[in-house]
This record gives sequence, structure tokens and C-alpha cells, in this order.
Amino acid sequence: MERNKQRILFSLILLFLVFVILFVDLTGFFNYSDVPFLIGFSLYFLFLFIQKVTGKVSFVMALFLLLYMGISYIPTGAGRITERIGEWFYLFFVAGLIQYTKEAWTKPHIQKKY
Amino acid sequence: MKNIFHCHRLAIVISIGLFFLPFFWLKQGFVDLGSDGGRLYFLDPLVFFLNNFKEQNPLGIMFYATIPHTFLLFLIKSVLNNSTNLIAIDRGIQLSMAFYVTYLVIRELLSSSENIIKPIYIPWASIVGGIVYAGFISTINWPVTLLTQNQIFLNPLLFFLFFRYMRTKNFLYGLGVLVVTIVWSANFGFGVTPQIVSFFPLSCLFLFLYIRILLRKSIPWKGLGFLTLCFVGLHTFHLLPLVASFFDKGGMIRGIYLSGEAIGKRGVYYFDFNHLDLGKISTQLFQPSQWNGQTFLILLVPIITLLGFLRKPSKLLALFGIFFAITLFLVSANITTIGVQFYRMLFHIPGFSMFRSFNEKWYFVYAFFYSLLFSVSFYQLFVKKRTIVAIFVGLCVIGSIGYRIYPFLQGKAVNTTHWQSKNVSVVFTMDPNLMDAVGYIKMLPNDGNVLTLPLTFPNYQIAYGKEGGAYVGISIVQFLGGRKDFPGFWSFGPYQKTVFEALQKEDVPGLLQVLSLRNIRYVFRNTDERIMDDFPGFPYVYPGEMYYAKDVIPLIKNQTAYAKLLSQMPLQERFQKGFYSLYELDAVKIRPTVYIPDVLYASVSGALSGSSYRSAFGNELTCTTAKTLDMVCDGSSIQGILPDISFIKPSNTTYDLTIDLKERKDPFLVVLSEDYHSSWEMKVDSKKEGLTHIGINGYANAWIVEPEKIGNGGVIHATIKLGFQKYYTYGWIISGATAMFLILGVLYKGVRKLYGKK
Repeated sequence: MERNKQRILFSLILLFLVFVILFVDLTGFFNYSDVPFLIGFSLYFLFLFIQKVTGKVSFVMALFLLLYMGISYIPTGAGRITERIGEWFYLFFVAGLIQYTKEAWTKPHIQKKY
Repeated sequence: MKNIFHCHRLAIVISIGLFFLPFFWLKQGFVDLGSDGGRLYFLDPLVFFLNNFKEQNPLGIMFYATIPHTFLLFLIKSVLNNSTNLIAIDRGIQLSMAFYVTYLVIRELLSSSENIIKPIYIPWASIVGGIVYAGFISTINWPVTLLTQNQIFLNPLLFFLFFRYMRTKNFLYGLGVLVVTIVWSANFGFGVTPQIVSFFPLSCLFLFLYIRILLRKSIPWKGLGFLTLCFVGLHTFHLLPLVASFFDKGGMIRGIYLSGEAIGKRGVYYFDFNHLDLGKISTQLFQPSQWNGQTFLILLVPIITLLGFLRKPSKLLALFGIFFAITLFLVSANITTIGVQFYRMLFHIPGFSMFRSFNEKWYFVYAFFYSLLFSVSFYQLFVKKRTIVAIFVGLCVIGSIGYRIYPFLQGKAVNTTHWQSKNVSVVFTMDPNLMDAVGYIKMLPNDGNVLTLPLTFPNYQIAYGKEGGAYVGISIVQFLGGRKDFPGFWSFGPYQKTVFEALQKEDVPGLLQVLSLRNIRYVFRNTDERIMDDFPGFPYVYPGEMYYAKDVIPLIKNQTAYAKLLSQMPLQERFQKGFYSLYELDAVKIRPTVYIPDVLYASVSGALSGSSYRSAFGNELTCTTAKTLDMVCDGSSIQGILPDISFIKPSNTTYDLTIDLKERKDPFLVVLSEDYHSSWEMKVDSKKEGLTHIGINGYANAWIVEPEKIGNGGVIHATIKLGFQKYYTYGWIISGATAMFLILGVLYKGVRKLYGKK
């Protein structure tokens, strides 16, 4: 039980770190390089590995980023920050899609026929 | 069942509405014809068709595929007798078919993959998806729509027909594919290679995966092979010259796609320079319209698209998601540094430079898969909900799109102004004086080219309409008048810098030499002051050195300066009406299309400064070849009495020459002022002996003739033919034979079916 609690706490810390990296990246701290993506997604995949969650989590992340991108886009248009959020969105979408595709083909009990 | 019928009727009503919408965009008599690809086929499709048909040379590859389509436009126009309505019909077909066929595709895909079909959900999701697609395509450049834009409905239509054929194995759908591709042949030619290469491989892969993995059905490979053969056979009339040019060393196609310059300068360099500005993920996801683009309504479609993934996993949605992700990556080409480097690397694939404008070229396939993904998501999201919820959300989506594209539906995308102009409208009525001038040009003897003034930076012609705005686009003189025209600096090819410098230095004799070397005999002038005043970006932007100020070339800074320039040239007025005049240059100053040079120089500067208007100049290779036959590029007169030459031009690719050798024994040159191509062939009495083909004057053809080898000291008859033309002839034969085979096959099948029934 105690171990389970620690695992949840560790996972939440990982997720929190992903968000920290994401928001720090949006400030331009990493010069918009690929480093924050590599670090962020390493931590995110570790989170997925520990929690063994479905693709829905990645899509929820993507949905959050989509809304964030929209909020950024409406007043300013396709600026640097908006596009950076777009890159994060795309990567979470692809991560979710990989999980989703795997689930669609390997978990017949929860999937639709097609 | 009743609901399905109602939905289908609704789809038909929407598509009819979309078809008639463009009829309200332009007032009767008004047209919009500009753009760099040209839309003059709406004005006179028959002349456009005939001019293209005559171009059985390497240049013809560019437009040859448009022939059946322009012929169809001619048939429609002969009924309507009105360019305004012809344009409206064209746009109406694009809009209505784009919606309706997307609706059919979605309905078909969803129906095929569902066990229990719920009456209203599939057709409703299909209608909403069709509207979403119509909303997407409203964002593309409608004022200058080219034939390539037909892809917006041809892509879904062919996808639908292919899918139906692969599912039902009914060859009638295959026949539908062939008919569609031949009627809209322009969309399967050289000009739309990027759109074809971007759409069909990906969509065929999708269909293959869908049918094999999801439906677990077999692929009719034999039928598809036969269909491909029929397609190639029908389109051979333009594909064969294209393929021939591809394998032709130094040929145009090879140069455009495969040369080092194509990969470097046209590909990587262009991509590096533009990818940050062109590749916008947010724009591709939200698809904002030109109006009301930045409202919260833009979020509706992407959110619904994403929410579908939160339901139970579906293989169909997964498959669409994969294709959406691929196409979003390609259309934005700006996702992560590694992604950008990967796209950059793709330019090393031969021909990939065609995707340097990635945001345009991948757009059609992206918009298609995005719409399908949206529809499947929409369906997944609401299939378990009450019907009223699905209808309400669908109406919200339709309403949001309708609100955003309402100005488009009113025609505001078309009624716009020219770039680099002082708010000059793109919509106008044709000036009858201009059409009379073009009519006069058509009647001129085929003995030289035309220079159109004022000169522009690229190669556009500008002409104000009688009412409204102005035409800015490809040369009317060339594409409707049927004469090779030089309307801007670019059209001079290797001479563009020379022309610019001659004008800048006010070197009128030098300019005359250039006109003479390019076989320009006529000067077509538009004296309208407005085309100089209202287009500040024209005509002084010179490649490499950006000159925006008109004072850079005082000799042509305004119409008064043009008048002064022309007064210094040996011209005779042949036609004048309204703003339009046509002059003929003094024949003595103009080199005929075929001539025998009296002086041979080693560079263009020699020819320009020389006094002879029958001289020629060679490059290093030409002069080395000439030297082996005792002809020296030294700027001295060619020794001995030169033969006399006369010619007739039975076709665009054939010249019949009569040469009076006057007992000359020494070699001499015969110059043909047509663009150099290795397949130009000169023969005397059907023999090539004693004739050496070389390049001359920086662009033209010449033959070193050795009279001793010809063995005739008197009058000889020679022919010059373009060998490349044979590919067009073979192409037409194969296309004709395939069409006959198909017609007979269909008739045979039809008769048999009829008999069987009886």
C-alpha cells in the first residue's frame, strides 16, 4: 500500500516536471531546441511506464495543449509561442495515437469491431 | 430508412446550393482571369486549346494535358457564350462536388465499417464532414484559382470511385475513374505533379490498409492493373512526351526536378528561407478563414476531432489518426528541429523539390484526411448519444463554419485587389480594343516574335478592363494571339540581364540587336498610363538586384519615356485602337527565323556591338566545333560569297528551306532561331551528311553546312524538323486506340447485357 502511494506520488512528480519543462520551454529558455522535447517525453514515457495508463491520458494532454494553443492563437495569431505549443500538441497526439492504435488492435474486449 | 433518405436529400440540396453560389460572385460581363498559371481558357477556350495543340515541342509538355479539358470548356462556352457564367460553372462544380463527394466518401467508409448502421448518425456525420471540408477549401486562393484547384473535388471523387471499385469489383466504377481523369485531364499532367504525388500514394495506401486489414477483403489486383493500363493508354498523348523529356539529357523536366540546382537552390535553399513563415501548425489545425479567423469558433472542429479518441478504441479512427498525423507533419514541415532536418533531407530524393512550397502542395491531402478524421470522430462521439445531441452539435459546427466563411460565400474571396497595386480590382470587363488588337495579331504572318511593352519584371502582361479592374497574368498575345511573346525581363531567358543593361545604358542599337537575335519582329504596346502608375511593384523589379524605383531605368520610366524610346527605333505602325498599338520593326534590322550569318563572334558582346544584323555568336563548344571546319569565331566577315536562303513553315515544328549555294565550296552556317533542342534535325535530300548541329546565339540552333559533302553546287532543298514531335504523334495514336478499345468494350458489354436480359 505504502509502495503504491510512493508510485503515485512519483508519477505525479514526473507529470509535474513535464509541465514545468513545457512552460519553461515556452519562455524560450531552451532556445526552442529539441532538448525540452527529449527530456519532457523521457519523463512522460517513464510516467506512462509506471502508471500503465491508456492513450486517453496523452489525448487529454493533447486536448489541453490544443485549447492552450487556441487561447494563444485567438489574440496573437500564429506566433512563436503558439507554434511551440503546437509542436508539444503534435508530439502528445502522436504519443497518444501510438498507444491508441496498440489498444485498438490488442484489446479486443474494449474495442469496437473496426 | 426515411431519415437516411432525408439526409441524402439534404446533401443534394446543399450541393445544388453550393453550385449556384458562384453565379452571384461576378456581375454579368465581368471576369477574373489573371494569375501566373493563366486562366485565359475561360475567355477563349477554343483558341487556348488550338494554341496548345500546336505546341508539339518540349515546351508543350507544360500545358499539353489541358487539351481535353479546354475542349470541354469550349463545348460549354459554345452553349453559354459567356465567360462570366463559364467561370461560375467551374467554381460551382468545385464547391458543390467537393462537398457532395466528401459526403459520399464518409458515408461509404462509415457504412462499410459498422455492423449495425444507425439510421441518422452516418449520413449526418457525413454531411457535417462535407461542410467541414468545404470550409477548409474556402481558405485557399480563390481569386487566382488554376486548373490545379480542381483537386479539391477530384481527390475525393477518385478516392470514392476507387474505393467503390475495390469493394464491389464493378468495372463501371473503374470506367468512372477513366472518364473523370480524361475530362479533367489538366489535373493529371505535368503542372499538377506535386498534387498527384502528394495525394494518390497516401490515399491508395489508406484504401489498401482499410480494405485488407479492416474489411479483410481481397484487393482486385488484376482489375487495378488493367485500370492502370487503360489510364496510361488514355493519357499517353501528354505522358509520352513527358517521359521522353525525363529521359532526355538536358531536357526541361530533368532540369526542373533532378538537377543539382533543383535540389539545392529550388529545394533546400527555398525551404530553409521560407519554412518558418509557411509552416504553421496552428493555422493548419484551426484552418482560420480570411474573415472571422481569430474567434473561439475555430476550436470546435479540432476539439471534436480529438474528443473522438477518448471513446472506445476504433481501428478506423486509429487508421485515420495515423494518416492525419503524417499529413499534418508534411503540410506544416516545421515540427521539431529533427522534423525540419528530416524534411530537408527529403530534398535529396529526386524530384522532391516539387514539395518546397509544402504548405500548398500537401494541403489537399491534409484537408481531405482531416475532414475524414473529424467525421469519424464526430460519429464515434455521438453514436451512443441521443439523436438530438448529434444534430445539435452538428448544427453548431455547420453554424460556426457558415459564420466564418460567410464573406467567402458572398464572393468576397474573388472580389479582391491585385498584389503590388494601388487597390486595382482583379475583376473587370474585357476591353474590346484589346481583343481587336489580339485578333489582328492572330492574322499576322508567322515570321517573327512579339515584344510587349511596357516590360514587366517577371513575364506578366497588364491590361485594364473597360470597366472595373485590370488583367495581370500570362501573355494574352501569346496564349490567345498564338505568337511567341516577350512581355517581361524573364521571358528573354539568357538575354534578360543584357536587355536590362541595354535599357539602363540607353543603348538603343544594343537593344535592337537583342530583339533581332531573339527574332522579335513586332512590338505590341499598351499606352495606358494607369498600368505604369497603379502598379508600383511592376515593372522594375529585376532578379538579383531588386529595383523598385522606376527611375532606375529612365528610358522606360513612364509612357512618355516609352514613346521616346520607340521613336528611336525603326518602326512602322501596323495597328492602333484605343490604348493598343502594334508596330513592325524594319526587316533589315531583324534576323529572319532562318538565316545565314555573315559574321561569327565568340561572345554576345561582339554581336551586340557589331553593325551587322545577320551576325551570330557561339559559345566555347560551338566555336571549337566550328574551328574543325575552318570557321573561326573572330568577328570577321565569313569569307566568300554566302548562299541565299528562303524558307516556309508548314507547321510549328517543320521548316522547308531553299538554299542557293552560288557555287560555294566552303562551309557556312544556317541558323534557326528556335529554342535549342538536340532533336532538331536538318536534312538535305533526306540525308544528314555534311550537316553538323550546334547551339548558337545563346539559345538557338545552327547547322554547319559543308557544300562539298552535300555534292551540289546549285540550289538545294532542305528540311528542318523537330524529332521530339514524334512522341506527341505516337501519344495521340496510343490514346486514340485506347479510347476506341474502351468504347467498343463498353458497347460490347452493353449489347451482351441487353441480349442476356431478353
